[in-house]
Amino acid sequence: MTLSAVAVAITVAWAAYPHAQAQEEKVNRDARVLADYQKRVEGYLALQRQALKDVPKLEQTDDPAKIQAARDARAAAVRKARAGAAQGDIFTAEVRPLFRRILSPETKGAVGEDTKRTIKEDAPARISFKVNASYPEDQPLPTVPPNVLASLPRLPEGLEYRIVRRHLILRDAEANLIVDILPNVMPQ
Amino acid sequence: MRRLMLCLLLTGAAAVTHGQDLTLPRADGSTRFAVIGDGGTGGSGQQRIADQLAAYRVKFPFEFAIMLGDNLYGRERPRDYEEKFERPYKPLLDAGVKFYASLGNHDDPPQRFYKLFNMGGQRYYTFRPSRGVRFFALDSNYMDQDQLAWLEKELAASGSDWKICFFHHPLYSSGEHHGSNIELREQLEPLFVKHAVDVVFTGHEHFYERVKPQQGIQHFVAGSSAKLRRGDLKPNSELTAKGFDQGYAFMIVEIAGDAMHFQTIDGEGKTVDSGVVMRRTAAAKEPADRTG
Repeated sequence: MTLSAVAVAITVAWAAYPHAQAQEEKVNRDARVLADYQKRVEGYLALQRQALKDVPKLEQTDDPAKIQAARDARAAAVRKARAGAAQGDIFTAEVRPLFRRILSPETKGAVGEDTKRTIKEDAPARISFKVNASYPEDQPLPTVPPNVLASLPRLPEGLEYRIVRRHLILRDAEANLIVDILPNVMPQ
Repeated sequence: MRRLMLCLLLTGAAAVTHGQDLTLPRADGSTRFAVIGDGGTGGSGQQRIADQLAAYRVKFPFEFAIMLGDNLYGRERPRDYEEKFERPYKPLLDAGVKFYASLGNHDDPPQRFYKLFNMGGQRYYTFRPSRGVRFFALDSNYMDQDQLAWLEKELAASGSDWKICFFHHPLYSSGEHHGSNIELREQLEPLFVKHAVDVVFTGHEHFYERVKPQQGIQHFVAGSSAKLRRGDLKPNSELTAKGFDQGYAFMIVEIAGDAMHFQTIDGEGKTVDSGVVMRRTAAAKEPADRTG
């Protein structure tokens, strides 16, 4: 290798270094945000377990009134335990850009068009929802396309994602409670 | 007075059974079931289909019914369970017919705890009503990785049984309003093909469509057992083997050996489609599916 070739290689490596470093920082930052998110999800479950320790479990029954009663009791207990809950407790400000980036590819191309269509078609009528309130009982639960689910961090049993229009909802399925809301996370 | 009541009852029964023409073979030891989709309105359409189901059961005593989702539209208070399920299907429930539900986008997952839906407390589950026939009820509203892994495991373990999957969203459909769910198809179809699923029943679309076999799998869309989207089937769709979007419909099905006989019936009791699907392992040896 000639001296000039070595000089070129050093220059290229030197020029690429900041980019590689930025990439590494981004990966680390994403991992940190995800770890924090998982910790907050686990925190919710710990609080839920504590709140439900004296509440009857949902069990199989031929009496729908018992299903309703068990569910209402769960919702009331969790709601009380999270009285001070606010939007962003779990979907923090750092989660939003990360989730937007994760979801962006799922809304592109032919499959992306289908994904957006599914979300739009199954969306409930104009509804208002807020953290720690029940998901409106008379409204359909919008379908979450499987490719979207596959791209989001996995949730433990009992918690689920739902997308209403462009907003991502974290829902406690058995209590029918809205745990958190991430507004406008789906790209248009 | 009693004579008058009896007379009225008989007249009513005659009206419901008008046009009944059973095409199924009623073979000894066969597995017999009904298929209803998007049925939980509590309205007159549901009642009409429920009446036909009860009437057809006299001639074709099916043991159970599968539900393709949207089992309870709107609210799900105890009285909704009564009005949208227990009351319309009372004659069938009283006769011991078991209902196996899958969840639609209008269904709240706690329905799985309702014993009469036979979901065993699970969003997705499998059951084997008779030797050689296995059903897989899926939750297509929320097809997460856990469910896909479960399905793969269960399909792999099902051996040479008939493999019949049912869920809400159609992988193939000629509906103008919804159409095929492509992203769901991308997840499920490779598993169905790999494990030789024979038949798929779905709802969501408020019409009936027998789709031409796709990757060797027979798909039925039957989501008009209470709701109807008249004229929603795309004319001249290449997917459609037979479609019916002019009235409510349900299906009755009989599996005898390697043959699955089906008959699709409208709200007036008239047959709108019928035929036979051969089990995939057997179909390789048989000439072609016979449908009419």
